[in-house]
Amino acid sequence: MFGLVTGRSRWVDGRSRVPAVRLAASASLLVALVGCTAPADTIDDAVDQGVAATATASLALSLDDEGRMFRTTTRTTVSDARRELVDSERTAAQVDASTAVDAGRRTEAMDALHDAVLAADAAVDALSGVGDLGEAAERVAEAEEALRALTREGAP
Amino acid sequence: MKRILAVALGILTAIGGFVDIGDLVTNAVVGSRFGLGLAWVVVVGVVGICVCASMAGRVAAVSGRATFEIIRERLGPRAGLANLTGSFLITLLTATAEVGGIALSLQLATSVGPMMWVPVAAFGVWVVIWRAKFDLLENVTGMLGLALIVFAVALFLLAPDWGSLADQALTPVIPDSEPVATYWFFAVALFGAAMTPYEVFFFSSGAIEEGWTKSDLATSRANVFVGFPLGGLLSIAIAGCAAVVLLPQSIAVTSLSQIVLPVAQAGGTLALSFAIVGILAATFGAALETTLSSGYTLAQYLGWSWGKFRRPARAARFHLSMIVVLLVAIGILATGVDPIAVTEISVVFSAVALPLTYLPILLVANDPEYMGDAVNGRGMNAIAVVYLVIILAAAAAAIPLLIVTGAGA
Repeated sequence: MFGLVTGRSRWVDGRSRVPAVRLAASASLLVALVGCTAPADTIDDAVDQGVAATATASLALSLDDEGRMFRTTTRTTVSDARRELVDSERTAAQVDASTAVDAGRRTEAMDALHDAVLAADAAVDALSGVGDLGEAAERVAEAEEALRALTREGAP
Repeated sequence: MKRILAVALGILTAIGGFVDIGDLVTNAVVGSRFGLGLAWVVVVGVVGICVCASMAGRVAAVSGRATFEIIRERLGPRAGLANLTGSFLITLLTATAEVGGIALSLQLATSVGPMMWVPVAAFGVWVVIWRAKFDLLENVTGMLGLALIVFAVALFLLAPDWGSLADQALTPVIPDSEPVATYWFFAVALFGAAMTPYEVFFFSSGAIEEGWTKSDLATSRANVFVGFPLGGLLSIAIAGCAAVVLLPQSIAVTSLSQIVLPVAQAGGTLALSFAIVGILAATFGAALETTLSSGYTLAQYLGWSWGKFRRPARAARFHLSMIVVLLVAIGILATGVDPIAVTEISVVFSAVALPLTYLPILLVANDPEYMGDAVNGRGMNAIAVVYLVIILAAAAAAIPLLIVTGAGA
């Protein structure tokens, strides 16, 4: 309190700006600390990202199946979804678990995300004519279901 | 009759030209995460850009001089330089996002990766800036941008629960799954997307390009006060489509390809074609505007000869600076950075830089030396001061919110 008052008078006098700098540094540190997230939250975010990506791929594939999408647009959408899945798998892999529960959850998430990446790979290949598109769409839907079961809402 | 046609064309161009990659992405992201819970920000942003653009247009029409010439003269070279640096960097970042947006929209049509399209997009922008007349480039991209109306049509075809959408828009609630800070981060981003500084530079410099006088002020007002709000409705339609189709499936938008899914669901390949053309035109038009705005700001501050109404040889440094801007944009995108991430950052920093544009225009619009008897009236000043407070608050909150929320992650 007194420091702040003293700091303000120094600021006004223009002799020293140290307290103001300290105040700014403290505020930055506070903001940075608030910006940090717990391991469990990071895993949850990675799973949510995975759900969004698989749901996107599923929607694009079903619209493609109904003839509502251009093949080029579907391929772009599923490729983007695959990139998101790879990103979320990497995010989950980089989590430093601090408890056994976190470690178990990370393993579950990584397994589900890895399956989703493989399903998206199969869908991208099938869109280019390699493999069966219907089968690939089913795999993507299964991967989405598995990931949804791991979300905060879907967890038992 | 000719005048009515000119007004109609101006309005249509303003509607089509209102939406750029920032509006597209931010509205879709917000719609997919908050429904229409942030539609109020679009309304606030649209009123803000109307206030700012109408002042900038009036300053240009009455004084016959563009924004940065006056900023340097009114604020002095030092404050003007600080202003130029902030505004130019944001416009450069926005130009990069728009060139990336062109590449992404071409990818939607061809499935060829965006890295292949970036040089093509930048070259296309340069050719049009070099060769096309100002009114042609403005009107053609604006009219083609009208294809984005397909988002409004799609929203109707999706037959949503209108009561629920109205409820989301009129009584906004932050979803349990989203932190309060994230809600406000996107509020600032949406505000920055609606009030991007380049729009003001382009509008006021365009007034000089087209030789506006006091007699053109009525047309300018019609463009701004009718065209921009209708453009804002398009933004809300984009958010509405995402809210109806993507939000219930927990699809948070992270790519341009997701934005067109509701349109394809509603109207099939025909609607999808319109959406792709609209996105391409919107991003291409905005790339032209941002590149030109970069050249305008530099040339006006440094006293170079500028303007599309001059042959390139007569405004060599102006044209050279735009080529450099496009090369820098290619360089940034060549690093492999996601254009959508560049867009998200650019709209947030637009909010940070907004006071640099808004405050000088407000000062000049009140200066009888430049404006004579066309200074702001009391009513305009009252609204303008309210917006000054909002803009300062958004600018101050933008970076802390960016850090706290991890850019809205």
